Amino acid sequence: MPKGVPFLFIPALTLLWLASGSPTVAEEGEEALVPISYNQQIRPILSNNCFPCHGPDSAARKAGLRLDNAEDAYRDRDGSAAIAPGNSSASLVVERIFAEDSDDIMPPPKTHKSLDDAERATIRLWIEQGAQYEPHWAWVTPKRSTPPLPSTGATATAVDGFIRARLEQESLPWKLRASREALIRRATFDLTGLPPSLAEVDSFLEDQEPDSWRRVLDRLLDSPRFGEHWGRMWLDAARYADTHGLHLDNYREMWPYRDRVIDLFNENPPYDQFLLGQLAGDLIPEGDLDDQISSGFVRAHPTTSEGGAINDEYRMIYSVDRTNTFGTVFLGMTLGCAQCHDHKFDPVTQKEYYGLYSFFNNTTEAEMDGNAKAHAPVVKVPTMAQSSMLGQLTEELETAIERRDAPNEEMDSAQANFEADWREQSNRWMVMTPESLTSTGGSTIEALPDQSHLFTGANPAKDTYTFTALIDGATHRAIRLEGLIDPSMPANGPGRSSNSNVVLSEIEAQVVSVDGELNPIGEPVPILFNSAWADHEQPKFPVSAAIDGDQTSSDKGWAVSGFNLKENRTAIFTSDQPIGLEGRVRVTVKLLFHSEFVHHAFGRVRLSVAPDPHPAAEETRWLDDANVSLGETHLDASPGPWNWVDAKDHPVHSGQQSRLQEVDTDRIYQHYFLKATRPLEVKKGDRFHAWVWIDETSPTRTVMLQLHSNNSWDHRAFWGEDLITFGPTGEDVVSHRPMGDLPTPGKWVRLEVSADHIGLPAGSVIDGMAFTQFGGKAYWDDAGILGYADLLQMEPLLTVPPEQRSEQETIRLRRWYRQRHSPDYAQVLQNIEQLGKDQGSIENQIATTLVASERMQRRETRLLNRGQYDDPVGDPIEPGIPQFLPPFPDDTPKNRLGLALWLTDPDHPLLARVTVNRIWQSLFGTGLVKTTEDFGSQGEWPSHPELLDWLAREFVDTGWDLKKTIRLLMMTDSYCQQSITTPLDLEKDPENRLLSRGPRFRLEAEMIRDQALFLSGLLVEKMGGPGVKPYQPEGLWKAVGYSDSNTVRFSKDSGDDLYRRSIYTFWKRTSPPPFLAILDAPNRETCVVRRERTNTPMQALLLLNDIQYVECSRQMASRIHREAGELDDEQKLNSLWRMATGRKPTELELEEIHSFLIEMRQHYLVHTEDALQLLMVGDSPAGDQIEPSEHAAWAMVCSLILNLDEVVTKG
Amino acid sequence: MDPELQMNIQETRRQFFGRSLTTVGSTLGLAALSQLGGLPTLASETRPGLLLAPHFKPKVKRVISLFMSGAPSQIDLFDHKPKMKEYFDKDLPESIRDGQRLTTMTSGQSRFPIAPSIFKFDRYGPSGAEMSELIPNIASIADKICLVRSMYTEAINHDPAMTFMQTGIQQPGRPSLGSWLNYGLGSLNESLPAFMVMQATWTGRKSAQALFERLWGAGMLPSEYQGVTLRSVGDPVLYLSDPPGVAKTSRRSMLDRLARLNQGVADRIGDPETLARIAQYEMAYRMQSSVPELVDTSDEPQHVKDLYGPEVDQPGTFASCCMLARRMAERDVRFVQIYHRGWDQHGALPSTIRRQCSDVDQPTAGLIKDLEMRGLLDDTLVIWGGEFGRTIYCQGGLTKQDYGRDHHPRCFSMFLAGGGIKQGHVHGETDDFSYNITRDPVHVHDLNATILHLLGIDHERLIHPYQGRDVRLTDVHGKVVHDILT
Repeated sequence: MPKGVPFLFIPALTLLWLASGSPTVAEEGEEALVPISYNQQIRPILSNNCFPCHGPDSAARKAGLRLDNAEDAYRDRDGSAAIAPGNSSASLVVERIFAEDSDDIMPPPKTHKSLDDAERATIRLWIEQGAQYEPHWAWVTPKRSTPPLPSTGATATAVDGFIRARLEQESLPWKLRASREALIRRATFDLTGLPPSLAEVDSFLEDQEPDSWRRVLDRLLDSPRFGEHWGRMWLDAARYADTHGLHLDNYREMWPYRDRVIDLFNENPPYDQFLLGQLAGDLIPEGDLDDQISSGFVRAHPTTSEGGAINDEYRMIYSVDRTNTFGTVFLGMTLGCAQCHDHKFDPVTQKEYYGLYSFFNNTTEAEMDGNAKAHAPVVKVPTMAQSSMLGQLTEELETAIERRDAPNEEMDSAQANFEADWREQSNRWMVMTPESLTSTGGSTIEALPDQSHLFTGANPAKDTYTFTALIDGATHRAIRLEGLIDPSMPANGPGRSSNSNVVLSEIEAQVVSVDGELNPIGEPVPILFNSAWADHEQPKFPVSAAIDGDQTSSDKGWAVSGFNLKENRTAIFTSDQPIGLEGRVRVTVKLLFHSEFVHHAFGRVRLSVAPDPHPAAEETRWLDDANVSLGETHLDASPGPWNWVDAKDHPVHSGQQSRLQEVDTDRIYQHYFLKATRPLEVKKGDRFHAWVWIDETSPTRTVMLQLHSNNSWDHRAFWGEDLITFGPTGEDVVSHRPMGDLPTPGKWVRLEVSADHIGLPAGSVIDGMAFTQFGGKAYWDDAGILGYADLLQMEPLLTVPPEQRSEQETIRLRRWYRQRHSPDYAQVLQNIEQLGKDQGSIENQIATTLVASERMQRRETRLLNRGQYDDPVGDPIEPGIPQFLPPFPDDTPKNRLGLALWLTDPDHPLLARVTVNRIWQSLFGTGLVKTTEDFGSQGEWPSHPELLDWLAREFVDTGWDLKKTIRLLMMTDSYCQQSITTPLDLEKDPENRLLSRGPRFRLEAEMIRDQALFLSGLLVEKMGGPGVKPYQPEGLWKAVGYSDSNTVRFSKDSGDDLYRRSIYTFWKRTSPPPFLAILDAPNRETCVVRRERTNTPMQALLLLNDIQYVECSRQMASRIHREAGELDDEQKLNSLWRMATGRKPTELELEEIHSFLIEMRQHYLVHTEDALQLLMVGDSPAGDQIEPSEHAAWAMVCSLILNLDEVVTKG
Repeated sequence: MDPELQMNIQETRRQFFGRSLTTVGSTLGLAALSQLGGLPTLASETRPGLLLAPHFKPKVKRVISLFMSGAPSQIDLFDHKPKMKEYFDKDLPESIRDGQRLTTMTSGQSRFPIAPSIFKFDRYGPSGAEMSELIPNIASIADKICLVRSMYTEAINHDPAMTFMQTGIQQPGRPSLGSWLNYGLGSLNESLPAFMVMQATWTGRKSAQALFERLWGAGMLPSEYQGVTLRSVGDPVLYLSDPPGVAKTSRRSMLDRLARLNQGVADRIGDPETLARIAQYEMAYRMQSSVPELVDTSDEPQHVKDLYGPEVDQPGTFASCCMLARRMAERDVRFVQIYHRGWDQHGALPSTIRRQCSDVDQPTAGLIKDLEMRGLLDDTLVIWGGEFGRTIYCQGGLTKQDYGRDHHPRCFSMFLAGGGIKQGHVHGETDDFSYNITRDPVHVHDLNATILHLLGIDHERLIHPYQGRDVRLTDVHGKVVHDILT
């Protein structure tokens, strides 16, 4: 050891000194020369061995003794002191650490801690020398010191001065500058995560200008690949992933955050600005969308929605995660200890911990993520294309709305007329005055002036209302039931139940003629209702259930959502046949309320009858005369025009023409059309109709209507004999529905059938219709569909006089009217609807990302006893920072934004050190402080403290410029050394902490995969977008996934997405991509700022056998033949080797791979089937440039190259 | 040599290398270390762990853990509460619940009606341990196992509870038990991973709780210590098979050349990692034959297969996994873990627990018998159990024949068998409601401390310095449960 140079005691080297028998500090004769440093030598020993009981944690403190500060350690304790400066024999500490007796010795054996001889001697010596305490280096603002000058003279850079001076101290030589090939490969990996192309290597070899190196660095720093490489490291720290991470581990949409990070690293804003966004982007005044996206850092931790999970507990877990992540990433502090008790090593009290925690315990998101991809708060992040499409749609929509709402005199006056007609017609309903009205449940019945009846009093669980009335027979077809609301009923709705809902299980009616004395003539006849309509139906309780003949099922019936619809209800029940025979008839109507839902009966009822339920129904005439194109017409069995005839010689019902269908023999004959130019959509309650005139002289025996929908004609109704064999003859089903007798010949008769009846529910689209007859002669005329559902729906509005309508009602009615009567207007509405849909579908496609958002009113934080979420104690704790750190400025808001501002103060002791240390780690393999995540007492002493401080200062003073700092380091001679390791290096600098050589270590997972893709030419350099799923072995997600998780099934992507850079790989936290995890990628469940670098057989298997690497091998072979087909074997091998390692192979190496090529060639010539199999691995085509056995042989060579130690290593 | 002296020597070696690993760091790996310390290289022999020698004489060399994920009902399997018959549909007395927290799945229930088990219990073996009719095969080996009825945990939901069981804390981030063993004790085997994991199929409720790779992950330890999954679909170990069209001879030739090329780099550059890499490629090559040989059960005689039941030949079933676990034990895999999912019976418990039991009952008993027949049970520890227990009160509708049970961390049952474990022993007791422990509680940390103890490890001394702390499996807790040990 050179005299006069302070001996720096490096923990990492202890072993080596012990092992090699080198002198320790305690050795005789050296003592006087060696000043012991508290920070470097003493604190690590005390911290690890003594502080747990004699340190900052007041609760765990033994014997009231504290050794982490001078004042306490020197204090007089009954005449002696734990530490008596300058007097080791009077120091209790010395007495106890040298004690022989196991009861006395410190640390006590039960702690499993012990001091070795060297440590004991060092402590004694330090006390002898005066026991000078020093503040912990990392908590003091870094100072720029003058770079030392090594004996060899000035160095290229200041950084080299520090490095070389230190190497000289250790008597270690440094290395020569590495070859240009090695340098450009090293730099390209370090700045872009990819190897250089051959062209880039060649151009650097040629460019011997003095600034060529700097220009290479600048080129790489400007590459967008820079952000993809350096952003990836940040994502480890931010614990970014594409799933929530806990329990179901469902998809979480957060990739815009990942893309933002990449962009930020490329844009290179000052690091303090970058941090503001990460910690508090949502709080930045005038912050933009990008800032908000950045705040995803605060939300990126795993979350749960596990059934049974307790909100308070998880809120605590999340806040703890954020606090600890904050500590690790920005302070290089392990704060976690202080969650449960005062920190044992560093001066962070538990209370101070909750002060920091309180900054993060104030966000608005729900504790349970709902297993939703967009766990609010989120922001939408439209792409440029999406934004412009949305803008365009908004404009179009505005125009369309303007058109829709513009006044239209013609339409408005037509509407007025229509409404007047309607009001007149609406008188068609005749209210039935009951002869008798009973309730089986014994309700009291009261007649009201509006002819309704109110049911009060007894409120039986089930009830039947029976109602009889006299009406004119053969006149009416429809019965209307009104269930009216009344103030006397509970819950303000139409029903008598506590929630005012109603379930009508069945309506039954019968009719009997009466004589003059009102006595019945004959037996009553049941009234068969064919259709039912209601102005509202509860899902699963349609009004049709009230006429299904089933009064016994307790769960069937018509229900009216009375629990939230507090309004009158109307239902109309229609029969195909007029009610009763001519003359006076007595109608009996029974309303059965027999469901399992008790008291679910109407409380106020009115019944009416009408001749036709839909006098004003709107008829859509589908066909009438030949002049309108229908679709594809068929006559009999062949395509062709129909047989239209004129009114001059033939009966015509409507327009100018009808169709004559005549056939000589008794057989089926028809007109039909398909592929309708105007398909019909069935609405509820619609009925089909057609007019027919059966010739008296040659009557047909059957007429049939058939409707075509959804590629099927199985919707038929026929009148007359069952002679048409379409559908099952003899049966009564939707595809063959008998409707009764043949219409009377010699007059126009309207055939009518409800759509329901022939199996065409609302929503069915009809694109064809057939008019079929059996033998004879008939004329057919206008046909179409009759709809009234809409009208009935509007009835309540139509009956309100215009002047009494609200503006909203007026608009509603106007739109409805115009839509029905103006094809143009319908078009506009359709257009608006479509635009809305388009808008919606684009909105749905827009990615969202989780962001932080601050509560207006601060959530109270209190200290959690032993870190237990359900045991808060003491007074509320204000946001704050531990006392040993710089004070929080008074004028700074006490929120995350303030915290970020505090952190980025230029004199902050930690942030800059911690940050440059991570940069150093990335470039040199290990940080100047090896424990990247811990700069506290238990962290490792920096290998070059002055250098760390110098760099930290430089980083801040040059404007927090990351790229500049990176370049600064890469410009050093230390970075550019050869990475050759000598036995002396291994002995004295095994981890290369002193930079006795250039950095050499295994590439990180993503770099290895990306390199293979790059070398093979498969790499697709599309930036950004949702996570992609390249190949992974089957069953991995399923083996662990919750069966109901939306990420339980893995489905591989195809095409370009298989070959994207690894940063874009979909990251499922509970089962991370195996090809990355095997190479030490973290699982992204917690913040990681330092990846492990292991060397395992699993890695060998991955690189040898994974589809991705095999595919890359064969594509790399294709590529070399494509690009260098004219070269001979050796030249090609030479190129491949250079592509992969950056350098030319040695002769021996070339010979080795060449002989392998020959061996493989011989093998595959014999085993051609094997060759074909190998070439089929992976989705990309093999191509036919090379003969398969040759291709396979080269693929094997490429695989060998991709597995070389040198290829997976940055050297 | 005097045993104590030898222990001291080993201790010194342990400290020496223990320190060297943590200070020299993983960059160098063991290969470099071995160069420094003159240890055998990775390529030969087995891989030493951090400890090099145990803290004291181990009782077992290896562990097979049968993990019933979702939490089996102790009340219907092991913890007989005959008195509950009288309590059918009566409310759980407030004095028993005593304000303890409930999951939010039942905390909103207006009442907590007691659901006695509908299953018949009997006494088995000389110890007279009571077990249910659902597990006749396990009951038949009652005299070989030690039943612990007084397990308890701190977590109330699956994800944190499983993570707690396996890593000693409820949140992600810590090494799993198997990783600790791998790290501390190393491998006994030169051609198989030291820590292997299987995920069995199940037949109860289809919708089953998830597993997480962290359960067999290495946490902050280097990833080489994490469990390797033995899969029943595709390659038994990820990426094990050579690609189609690559002959074994070609692979061998390629690896020989790779080794020569890498050796050349090692000679020129001198980086010890290169040598380690050569060794790892050789290990990978050995695994390519050792793993297929492991999973090829065609050499198992029928009478052995019969021990595990009719599903033993269906890949992925619990039975098949159990037989593979025995084969791994024979090959000295240090830690084998089988996960069987589907035990989360909030509703329709009687029907689904029947199917779950039929999955595991015979294979579990078969495994223990098979190990015993081969003399392997003496130095193997078998553990059976889930992450917590279930409530005596019913979740959802209660009928005489049907009920469900919510999560219950306050008590549950597990059993152990093998070296150092008392046979035919029942440890611990719960109250009449199987709600609170009345005697000999065993915390999860205690169980883990005991497992480590059986392997010769002082749980307080198997540590990894991380973020300034000496991290260990049992955090700052855990007591060895000597009462269940011989």
